[in-house]
Amino acid sequence: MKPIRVLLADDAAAYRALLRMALEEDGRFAVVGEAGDGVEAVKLSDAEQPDVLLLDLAMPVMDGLQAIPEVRSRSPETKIVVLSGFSRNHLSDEAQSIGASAYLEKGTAVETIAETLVELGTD
Amino acid sequence: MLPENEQDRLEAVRRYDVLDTPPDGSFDRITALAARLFDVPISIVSIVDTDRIWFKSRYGIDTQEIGRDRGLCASAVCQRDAWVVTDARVDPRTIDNPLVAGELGLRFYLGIPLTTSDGFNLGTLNVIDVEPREVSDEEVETLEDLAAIIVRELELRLATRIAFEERRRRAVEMNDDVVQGLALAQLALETGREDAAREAIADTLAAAQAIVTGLLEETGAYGELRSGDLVRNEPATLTA
Repeated sequence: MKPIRVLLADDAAAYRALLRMALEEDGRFAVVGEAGDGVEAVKLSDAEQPDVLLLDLAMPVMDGLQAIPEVRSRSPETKIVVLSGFSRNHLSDEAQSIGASAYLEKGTAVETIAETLVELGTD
Repeated sequence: MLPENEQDRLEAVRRYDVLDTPPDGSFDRITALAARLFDVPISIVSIVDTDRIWFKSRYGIDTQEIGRDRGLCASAVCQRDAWVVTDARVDPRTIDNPLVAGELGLRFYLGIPLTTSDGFNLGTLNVIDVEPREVSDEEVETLEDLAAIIVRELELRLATRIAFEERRRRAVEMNDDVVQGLALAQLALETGREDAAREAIADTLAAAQAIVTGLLEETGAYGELRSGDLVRNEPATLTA
């Protein structure tokens, strides 16, 4: 099976590195890039057209909520999974109304994150 | 006619965020009270915007706003004190004004500038009559007191909004420094990186302590902890 191409966007480099490691070890994913802010996330989505963008919300320069519509228009096939420290009840509806496919809270088990990526990335 | 500090004044109008807000009982009570006290048909709380005068509260008149060039309030916000017109039809300042010559037939106007604590006139509280009349010092003082109540209300609302914005800023800060740190530690444990987890927990603990210290310092004397202040309402829940 072809690996699911994932782009990671999170301003914490250490968090991105661990996610990348976990996803690469899983075997079903290829991490095609890492973005440290919203603008980079948009640029890399445009360039890589990933299957899934795993997107943090609180980031410098451009936040995740600002980035979602930009990514949607530049890479319409990319599914956006928000992975945020803010609880679902505050931002989930807003994120999904502007084009995110799923909302996960940070602290969600890596297995669950991986399942979500598989579910959305193999459509 | 423009106040000297017009640009700063307009910024203050924006800051108080009152333009185009819904009608409000607190202000409507004051205009109704002013009209009754002065025995006049009309009383208005006006806010003077760039090119219009918008009525936050209006008693006895349906109009929601008028052009700034027509309004007497635009003149009143240039003053430090009350602006009085006892008979607009003979007063050279107002004789050509369409509110005076036109259908409304305004004759008497007393406007008190709504002056903020930092010295900007946002608009006025005024009373209007279609008959000429005189006004006593005591009456001016009465309207000034009512205007001061309005300003106080506006100041309280601004302070409340700032407090909410500050709370939101703190929530974002807690997310950045504490939630993200713990999420990192958890992810590190899940991926078998104990060293990274330990480091993330130490960083997060330091960040959380800095936030607590900052919160206490900002509250000044209220924030000083004394014997007995640390008795918890509930036992600590970090037992899982």
